[in-house]
Amino acid sequence: MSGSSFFCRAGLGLVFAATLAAPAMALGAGESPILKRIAERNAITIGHREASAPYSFINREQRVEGYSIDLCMKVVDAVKARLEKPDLQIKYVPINTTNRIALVANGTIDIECGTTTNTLARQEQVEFSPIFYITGTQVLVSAANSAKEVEDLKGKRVAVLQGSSNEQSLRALNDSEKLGIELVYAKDLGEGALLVANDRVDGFAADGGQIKVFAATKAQPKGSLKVIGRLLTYDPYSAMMQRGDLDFSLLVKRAYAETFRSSEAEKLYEKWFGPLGIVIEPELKTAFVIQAIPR
Amino acid sequence: MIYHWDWSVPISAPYLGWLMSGLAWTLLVAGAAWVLAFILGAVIGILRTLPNRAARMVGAVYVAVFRSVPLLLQLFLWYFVVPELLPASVAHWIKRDLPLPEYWTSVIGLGLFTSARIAEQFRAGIQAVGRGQSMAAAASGLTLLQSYRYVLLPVAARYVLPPLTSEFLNVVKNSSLALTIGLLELTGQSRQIEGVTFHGIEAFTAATLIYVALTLAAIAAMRAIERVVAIPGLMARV
Repeated sequence: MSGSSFFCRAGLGLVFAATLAAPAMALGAGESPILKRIAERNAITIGHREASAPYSFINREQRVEGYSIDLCMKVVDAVKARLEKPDLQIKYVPINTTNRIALVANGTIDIECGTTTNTLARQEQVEFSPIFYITGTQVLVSAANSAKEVEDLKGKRVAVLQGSSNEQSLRALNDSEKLGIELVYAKDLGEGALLVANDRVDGFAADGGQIKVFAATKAQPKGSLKVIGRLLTYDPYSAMMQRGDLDFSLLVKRAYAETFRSSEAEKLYEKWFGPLGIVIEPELKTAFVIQAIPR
Repeated sequence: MIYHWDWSVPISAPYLGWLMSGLAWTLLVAGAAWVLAFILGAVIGILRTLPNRAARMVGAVYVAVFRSVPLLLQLFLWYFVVPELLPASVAHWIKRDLPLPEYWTSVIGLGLFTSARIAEQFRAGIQAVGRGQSMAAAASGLTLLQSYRYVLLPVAARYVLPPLTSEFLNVVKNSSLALTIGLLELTGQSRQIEGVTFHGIEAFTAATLIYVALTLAAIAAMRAIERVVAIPGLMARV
């Protein structure tokens, strides 16, 4: 690593600094199968969502971007430094809730940067990065609806995303409190919101952060949808990678911890959520502090 | 591949129950859509062979419309768009008061799509009987209705049995698209298991085997029907 590249690449500065400051940290792929295959292909493959703005989506210019993607770029920078490949290519593979686990497990994707909730059951299959976003199940309803909590939707029809943690929580609540809510299955965020807008259902239970963004940016006409209710679940988002590669997992943890410590993460949050009028929640701020593990 | 295989997932509670419920919905959707498609398809197919030009036009337009639009799109249109075009009270009834709206929408969407394909098979079957037969029927004094009832249809129905088998299998398989409007049939339930357990590969494998078993059973049933109704000497058999 030459001194000039250190000064030229201001964006990589922190990662390079960490590398220089810690001579014990190995360079090259070492024993890591993921780093080895990245070095072999001279490309890192990122799994992304197509329409989960502002986390992970394809913009009007057909480029992949978002809050989750920007955070993953810190990992890409760390991989570039580690492998000493400043011209490492980035390949993007679109994923959905059905294929994401298989694509991570079979090594098509090196790191998944989307809106995946980190759960212990899922940790049996994949490795997760530190938590970079915290949300919970809330309900999207039409602005005219007087309901304040999900219990006010007793006996009504409520849409959920198929296979989501939101669905599981709503079903549990439905059973324990005998709410008699009829669940309707939607396949993505846009369809769930369309069901509410079309009056096919009374509410749409999904990750609060995502439906707040939807209500703020996509509701037609503006202000016709709102988000109600307490957080019914705790849904922490993490990036997924293949399980059993401690080296790569450590590299990812290190990249995220640096981002949390330098308050870069907060700036990225502000960049993506600020324009939507959403301020950072105290829980997430605390999570950043706690996960900023010292070098 | 680093994947923690667990083949007990699709056969353990509650996931086995989910798969079975999915199978039941697959059968209910495919069965009802098949009845609708068969009746409508036969009627439209006959319309397309009648001497009356207007009747043939109606049949041709129907087939063109339902055969040219992808099924996925048709289901979406029936579910999201058509109710918005209807008077508010009717739309409200469809959206909120009709029991099992996703089920009935799937049956209608899948049934009409398939009926256009069945209509073409019936038309081909009737035309395969040949002009000679219908002219002979007319010459022996049968009315148009009688010539269809006693000459053309009994033979045509036997001709179309093999392609109808394929169409029946298509209905079973196409019913998986009903998941896109929220019906949790077999494929939908497999995705459900995937979401909860992250053991999607095992769940989809189980669903695949169930589909194969279903279609093999359907093939055997249709072959049996073909044998039972066969008229000796009518069709070349191997």
